[in-house]
Amino acid sequence: MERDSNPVASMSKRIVIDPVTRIEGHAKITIQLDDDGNVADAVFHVVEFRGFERFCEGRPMAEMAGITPRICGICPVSHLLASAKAGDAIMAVSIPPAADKLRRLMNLGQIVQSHALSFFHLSAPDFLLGWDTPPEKRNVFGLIAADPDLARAGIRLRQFGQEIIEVLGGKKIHPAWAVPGGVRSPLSEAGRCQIRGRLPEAFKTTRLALDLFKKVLKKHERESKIFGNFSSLFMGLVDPDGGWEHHGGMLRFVDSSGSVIADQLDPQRYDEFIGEAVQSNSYLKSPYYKPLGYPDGMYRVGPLARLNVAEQMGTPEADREFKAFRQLGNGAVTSSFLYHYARLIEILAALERIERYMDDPDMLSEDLRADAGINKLRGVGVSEAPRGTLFHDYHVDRNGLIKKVNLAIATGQNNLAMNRTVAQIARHYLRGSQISESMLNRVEAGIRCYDPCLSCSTHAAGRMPLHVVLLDADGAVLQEATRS
Amino acid sequence: MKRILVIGYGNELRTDDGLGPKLACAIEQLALSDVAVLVCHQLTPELADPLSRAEFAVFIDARIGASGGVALQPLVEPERASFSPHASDPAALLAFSRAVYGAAPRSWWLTLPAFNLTYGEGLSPAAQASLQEGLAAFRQLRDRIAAIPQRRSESRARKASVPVQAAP
Repeated sequence: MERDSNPVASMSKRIVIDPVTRIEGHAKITIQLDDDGNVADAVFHVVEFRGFERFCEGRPMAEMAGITPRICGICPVSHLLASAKAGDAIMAVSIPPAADKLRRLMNLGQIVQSHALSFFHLSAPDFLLGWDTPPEKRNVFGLIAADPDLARAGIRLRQFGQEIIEVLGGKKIHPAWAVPGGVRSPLSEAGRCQIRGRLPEAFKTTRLALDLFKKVLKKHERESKIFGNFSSLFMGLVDPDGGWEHHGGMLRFVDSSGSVIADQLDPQRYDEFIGEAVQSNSYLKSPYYKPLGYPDGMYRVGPLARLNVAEQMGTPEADREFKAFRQLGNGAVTSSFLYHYARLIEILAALERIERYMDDPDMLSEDLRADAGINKLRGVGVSEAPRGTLFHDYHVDRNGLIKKVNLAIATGQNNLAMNRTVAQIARHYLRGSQISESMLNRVEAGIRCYDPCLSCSTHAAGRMPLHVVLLDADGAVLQEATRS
Repeated sequence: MKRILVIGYGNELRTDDGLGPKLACAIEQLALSDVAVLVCHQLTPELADPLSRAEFAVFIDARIGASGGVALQPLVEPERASFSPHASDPAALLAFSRAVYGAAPRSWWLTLPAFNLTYGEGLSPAAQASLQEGLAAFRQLRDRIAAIPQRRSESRARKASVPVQAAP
């Protein structure tokens, strides 16, 4: 066990949660206590490395839409779409309107399936079954036992989102469908019927989940106040009218009062206003808003941020929910616990937009590709992944071979906020050497609010054994916990 | 729903890890009247639905460690169920299927040795050979299953989907 080399904390205790459960990928949380047993600091760090940004060098740009989705088996669509857009920029083309709509339809399917997975499988066991339910029951199986209809409905909702991806791309995971210049194929008539047929059930499940969450929110006021409730910036894409945007548009930053501090920022020039700091103890980079410097320029992305930067959702039912949601904040909604609520509203918005697309004749159009060669030596593709804004930044040579890649991942952009969330929760629950299971779960649950995908964030994959150890200042073990 | 559900899974861009999908596709080409085939990257909760409707299931995957040849083992549901959407095993998925839908098929796990797991498409020459062995093993298993009397569908205790209602 290592003793912290920081002289201030030289007599302090460290609590390690390793790995965090029920998130995508694996991570470790280190909580540093001072001599009095109070939380001095907390770090959420990732110890796996995979290296996509390096081994893509030398590959043809056109291959990137096939390579980068392999970063993750849960959100490959997000990488597929951002990569294709980076290719569009390098080719300097405007893709046909039908292709843009079809890409959007796939992204909406991705939002539905990812948010459904996050809510029903990963997060709902905590706030629907109760924080103090024994761990062996506080999981999706506990949810199935407590409310089998809800559990089945949640599975089918995720399945619906995946079906949209499969109908468009030919398979649910890693569809080779979006390419630089457009997409390979339209929606078929059979596919349109299939999607239309499943919409009513999807709406019903989402409305039910929203009702349920609003009820449990009343029981979890404490969590809402301390699970990542702090001032920060928020960033996301907005449409030309300042509305909710998931695939195009321009970038906007707002602060906790809801004031717009930067607007209509060109995503192609993201590195002019977003810097990336590197932590010595993690492979997760820490992006920040450059004008405010590091770490004051911390910002959040994802559902909570998107609903804070937007002025409306653009569809009637989601707009009603959006108005109620925004009442929970003074300007912006600042509690990370309410990411769960924002996710459900985004599912609703996605379903309403999917429904509209089913009546759009462009969905069946065969005009889907723009052809061009290499016209620029750098292109940035930006899309709102379910977890937040995703950037694919490619530099190529004149032959279109990749020279340099930078991937700014949604979860990475929430890194600083996740650190702060862990520290905030730990300050409320950690005292001395008494570690309860439910307390540890609250710290982990704070991370789960962000629905992090660590496979993407470090472009990593792997498994780690769980071993939580609390040591006193002399290195003696005070308490140990293992999760298999 | 056909009597036997074959689920072949793996990453086709990790060379021999694509054995599961490739063998499943080869089985699909046989167009067997009693066999349905699903090919996927990884096992996900949504597979519980078709699994719960099948009488028998065969999961096909590559196996790390090149020794031992093609292996076929019956699957036993774990006593304590757990399921991760990111990485799971067939037995856990069967338990998940039973928990959600009240039914899970009698199942086997057909694993083929992987010799090369580097980035790349296609199979190594040794894996190509085990692909043929795997196909033969599946045919033998299917013949054994065909000799088992078919269960009447009404005897299957699958929980039907019921209208969604708010929890109390």
